[in-house]
Amino acid sequence: MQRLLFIIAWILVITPLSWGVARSIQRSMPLFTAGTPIQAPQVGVGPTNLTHPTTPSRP
Amino acid sequence: MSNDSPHFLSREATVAGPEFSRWLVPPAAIAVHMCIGEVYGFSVFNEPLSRLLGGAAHDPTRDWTIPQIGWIYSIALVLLGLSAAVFGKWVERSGPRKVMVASATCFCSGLVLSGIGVQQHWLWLVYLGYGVIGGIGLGLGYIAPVSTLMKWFPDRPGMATGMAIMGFGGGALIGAPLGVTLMSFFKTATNPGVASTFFTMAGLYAAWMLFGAWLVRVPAADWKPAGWKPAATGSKAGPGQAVSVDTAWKTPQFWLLWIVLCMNVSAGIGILGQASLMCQDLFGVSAAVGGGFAGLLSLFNMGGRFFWSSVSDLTGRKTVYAIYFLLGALLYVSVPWTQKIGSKSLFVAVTALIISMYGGGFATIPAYLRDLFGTHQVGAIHGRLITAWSLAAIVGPQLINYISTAKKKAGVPAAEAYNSTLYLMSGLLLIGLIANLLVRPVDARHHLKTQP
Repeated sequence: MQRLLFIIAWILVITPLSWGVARSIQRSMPLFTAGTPIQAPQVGVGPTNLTHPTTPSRP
Repeated sequence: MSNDSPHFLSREATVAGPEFSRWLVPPAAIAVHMCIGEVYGFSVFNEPLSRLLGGAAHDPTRDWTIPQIGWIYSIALVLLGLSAAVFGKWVERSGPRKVMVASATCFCSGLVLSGIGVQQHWLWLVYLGYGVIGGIGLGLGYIAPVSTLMKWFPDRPGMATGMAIMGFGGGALIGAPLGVTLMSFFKTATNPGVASTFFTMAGLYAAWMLFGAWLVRVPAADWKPAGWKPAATGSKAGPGQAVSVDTAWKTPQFWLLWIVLCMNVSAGIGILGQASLMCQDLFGVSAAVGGGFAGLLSLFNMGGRFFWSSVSDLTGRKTVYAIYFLLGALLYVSVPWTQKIGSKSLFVAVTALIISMYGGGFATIPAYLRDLFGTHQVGAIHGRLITAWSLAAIVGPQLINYISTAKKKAGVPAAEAYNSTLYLMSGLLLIGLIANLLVRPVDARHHLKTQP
């Protein structure tokens, strides 16, 4: 009974976490795929977010 | 049920029997943390909430504006810190199960109220529901399992709390795509489906959080891990002598750790808040690649919570924070150099390492508190320390924004404007390093006269 509960409990937390991680990896794929050549830094062009508050971080 | 039976929610009812495995407690804690971590995926609702009446497009005369919607999130964050600080002692007294149930009730009823507020287009109800009531649920849920986990894992307190706090980071990874998926399921031509999404999420999260509350147990007073010999109380490896929360927050050690956490959070915002656009501006990549970079950082933020807090069990808390701050400061300074040599790979590697240590800083702080103040009221002390994060999360971005905007107005080029922020982050980490190095064991006059 204790062993079954152990398996169920970990499956219940690992499954959604794995889904979230998989989605995040999927989202990060463009970073690793080809076709995104490095360009020269855009000196002189202001970062577009500088006029907006940044997003608070997570604790 | 006999009158002598303890109430299901009471601390007494959660005392584990001799056969109970302590490895059932981390999933209970993670179940709660990964639900309340949803708050960091809230931004996916911003745009749909801004066109509730206009349908496909924002109606500027009737719809809520993005700044108005932004307050929902800010109120929740402030209430998270305040409730953790105010209810910390009650949390310690009541035991984890009652607090987890209270957290689930507040967080999920907050979602339901917000859903009603969205349906009726009453912004005040969304502020009250998600912001105030939900925010209280966040604070309660965040600190509920902390001291319980450390009592179950006296041999690895950093790893134990790291698992729960990693769950909070993971909650963001779940909450955002879940919200998007549900909205796409519920949306119609005239309704973006936000209210139905809130109701559904309330049901799902309630199930998981109540499962965690049912599963959680506290160890018996004389329990200890098999074969484990406790280090002497107050020794380097053992817990500190017990200090009450009311005394702890008057000690210099508390405020030094407050600075440590505040600097850690403020510095992390420098990368996290600007990740996508920074990558685009510095390396000229597309928005999709910038978004991918932000997604990668979220993974390292989550993984770092578990990795670095586990490392702290081997190295000691002070050493691992010294690594975070010293290495972090050096890495921040090196970011402009990676841009200068045009190495996107190096830029990604450096920032990912920074963010992993930033997450580690969050996850290691409960064990640091335990080392200094003992496990007696460590959850309540942690609750008061979280005010450092609340402040940094609200003030930090404004500070960064102010400096960056001022630089831009002064005609500083884009790359150099980023540099200023990065050097500022590096300086904040050095302040954190100094605070960390000044931490000494708590003076004996602060210890409880009768050790629990």
